[in-house]
Amino acid sequence: MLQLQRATQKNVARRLRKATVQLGAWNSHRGLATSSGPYDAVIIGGGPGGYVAAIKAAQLGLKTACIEKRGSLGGTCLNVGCIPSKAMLNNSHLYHQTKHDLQKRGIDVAGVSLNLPQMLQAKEQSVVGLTKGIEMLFKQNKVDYIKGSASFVSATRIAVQLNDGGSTEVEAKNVIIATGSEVAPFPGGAIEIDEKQIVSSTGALELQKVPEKMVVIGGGIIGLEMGSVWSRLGAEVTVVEFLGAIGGAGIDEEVAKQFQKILTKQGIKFKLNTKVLSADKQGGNVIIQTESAKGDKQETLEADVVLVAVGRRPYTEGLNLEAVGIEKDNKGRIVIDDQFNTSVKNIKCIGDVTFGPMLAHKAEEEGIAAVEYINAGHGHVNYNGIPSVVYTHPEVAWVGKTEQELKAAGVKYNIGKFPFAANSRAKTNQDSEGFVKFISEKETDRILGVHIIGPNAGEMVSEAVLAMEYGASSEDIARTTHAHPTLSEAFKEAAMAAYGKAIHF
Amino acid sequence: MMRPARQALSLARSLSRAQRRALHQTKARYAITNLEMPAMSPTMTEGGISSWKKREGESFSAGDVLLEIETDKATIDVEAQEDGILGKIIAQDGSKNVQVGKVIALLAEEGDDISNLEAPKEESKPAPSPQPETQAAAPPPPAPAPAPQPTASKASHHPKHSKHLMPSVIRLLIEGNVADAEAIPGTGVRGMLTKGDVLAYLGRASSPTGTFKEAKKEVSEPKRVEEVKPLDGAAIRQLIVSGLAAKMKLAPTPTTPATFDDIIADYLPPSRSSPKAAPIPFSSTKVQDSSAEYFDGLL
Repeated sequence: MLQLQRATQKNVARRLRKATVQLGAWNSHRGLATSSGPYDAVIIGGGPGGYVAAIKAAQLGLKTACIEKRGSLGGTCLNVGCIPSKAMLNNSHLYHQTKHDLQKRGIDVAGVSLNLPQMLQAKEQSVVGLTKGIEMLFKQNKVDYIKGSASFVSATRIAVQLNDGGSTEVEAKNVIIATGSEVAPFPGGAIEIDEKQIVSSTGALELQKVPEKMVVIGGGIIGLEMGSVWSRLGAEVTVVEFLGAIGGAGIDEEVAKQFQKILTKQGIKFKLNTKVLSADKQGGNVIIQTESAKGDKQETLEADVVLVAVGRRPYTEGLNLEAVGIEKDNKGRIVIDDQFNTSVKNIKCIGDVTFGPMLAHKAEEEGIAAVEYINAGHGHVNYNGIPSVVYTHPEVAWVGKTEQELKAAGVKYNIGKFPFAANSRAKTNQDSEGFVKFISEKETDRILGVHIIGPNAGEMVSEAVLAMEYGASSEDIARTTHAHPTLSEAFKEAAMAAYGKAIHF
Repeated sequence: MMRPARQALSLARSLSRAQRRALHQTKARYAITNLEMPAMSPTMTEGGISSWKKREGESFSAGDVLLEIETDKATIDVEAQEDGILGKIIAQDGSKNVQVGKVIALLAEEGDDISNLEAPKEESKPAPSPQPETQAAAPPPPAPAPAPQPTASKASHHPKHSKHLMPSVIRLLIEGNVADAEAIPGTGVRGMLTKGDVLAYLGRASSPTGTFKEAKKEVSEPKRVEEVKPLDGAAIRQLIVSGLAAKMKLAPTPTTPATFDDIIADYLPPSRSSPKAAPIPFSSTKVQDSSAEYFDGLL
């Protein structure tokens, strides 16, 4: 009897489904895609998470659309984040080196001067080139690129306010929300960002003249990178950080200390354990009131430009999530399970707008995994193997656990450290600040974390990520040939030090 | 005389290093160590034993002279650097042309049973190494045997496994004399063996990740929009009718008005249709959403 009932339910369900397909077709004239059926996947947001997911979905044979309202693809990362900041970091480093370093290498250059408009234009060219590149990739992979703002009508229907006027609706079997994040305002709203004098990371990439004095609020990755840029170009930079160390979340304390020492030597000033109370514009300058974290010491700073770099927050504006009942947590992040499912069955979510570190490469991995879940029912992101990189000079990069985390967890570990000062290539390059630090489990020698400060750390850390992905021990690295003379030998020697002894130190 | 003395000193030092390493590495499971013919100089390949200063079974302490070795250049005392018992002399007094690295005696520790010690079978050592300690340090097989097994044959044995082996794993499999590496459960990517896996198998680590425990990832579960309840006949009827009604109302300009035939057609036996999941229709109430989901799960 029970079986019969179930069979009946199933039958009815099938019929109902079919009926609704036809009903849906009544609305066909409204949608972009309904002329040839609904999309298999619609991705909202064309940042590093969204565009990668879109291309991957199309490659797997899904009929795919990507909705982006910025007007260019690549999201924050490509337009006003990672990419333009790296252009500024690289070129400001060249300028600084030409001015202060080339002479001792035997290269005399006369009349070195900064052409800031040209430098900003070079940055712009890189950005435009890369965003156009993604549009090309969309065309190659047959991803429909819809320029406009998406808003949920139902779980499978999305209304799009098109950028060049008008509106449309798309039908989707699966939706991936990849709307990313935006600059977090100063807590309490005490400081208003005008992107001219009081700027966010976006405005800090657009300053039309080098400030004389610049105050950076927040000693995390963004603050240190942008502080470095303008310091190299001639600004007197002061970084104000509420916490007792720079470098942001997840940095090893030992690395953070060394990092601060090196940046101080480069001329950046630090005020740690210091809280910013207010920043007011007065007579062309900005007056910043600070207080020590304990509250016992007050200080007033003056600057012509203030950079607010206190973090980012999830961005879901205009999505009309309420209409479909997608749940958010108290920080505004969309709640997902371990398969990127939101509270609505066919809607997934990846990247900055949900949990985890706000990193482009993390969003990319999630984008691919989410598409694989849609396509094949399984995907994978190893959250223990997501590297962080600070692109200052020297670079700072790490993956895995810090020494402090392991100590707190009661894990027994070995440390293997190797300074770049003992590495032949770093020495010959006259660029030998920093070290590589391996942390491996004591009994098994398994690599639990690698922390690098030094030249090329950002590229070098990938080897550590790969090793950790495969559960390698420091001995495995130490027994792997590294070309001579390279900076990567320092990496190998640190591994040797972790399970035995380094040769050159 | 000064030269032999100095040589004796450095020899003693290198010997002690060799012994310390060997003992340190094997003490836990294996107290018997080989005393090998030491190399006096990097070029020395063989030497003679002029006389033993200790007899079999005699105990000695650090600093005691164990034997005298003669080479074409000098006669040198070999001192013990750690306490122990001379278990068995293999190369007797007057032996000539003993190859460097060849076992000349077995050393035991206080309290060890040395009654049934046997001389190791003739070893076919490769060309003598200029550093005797590397050979002295070659660890014995893990099984507690009365006398050390020859270790030389291991060098040619390359462990085989259906999956790629990491360098540390290859070393451990050879050193641990693991016959069947496939028997070790692999915790690495797609079952690959990690160093920790082999160490745990050999009893040298508490688990494949040692003291590190992978933190259990807290998986957040988003609240599902609606609790899905099984539908009874009445609910299904109501659902169908309300769904149809909603569609009729909300579709602004239906291209094909729903006729009785259209609707009834859907209740006729199903025709061949796309196996792919059809989209869930636009609907205005949550009840419909959740029931549509429920059917998705069924089909």
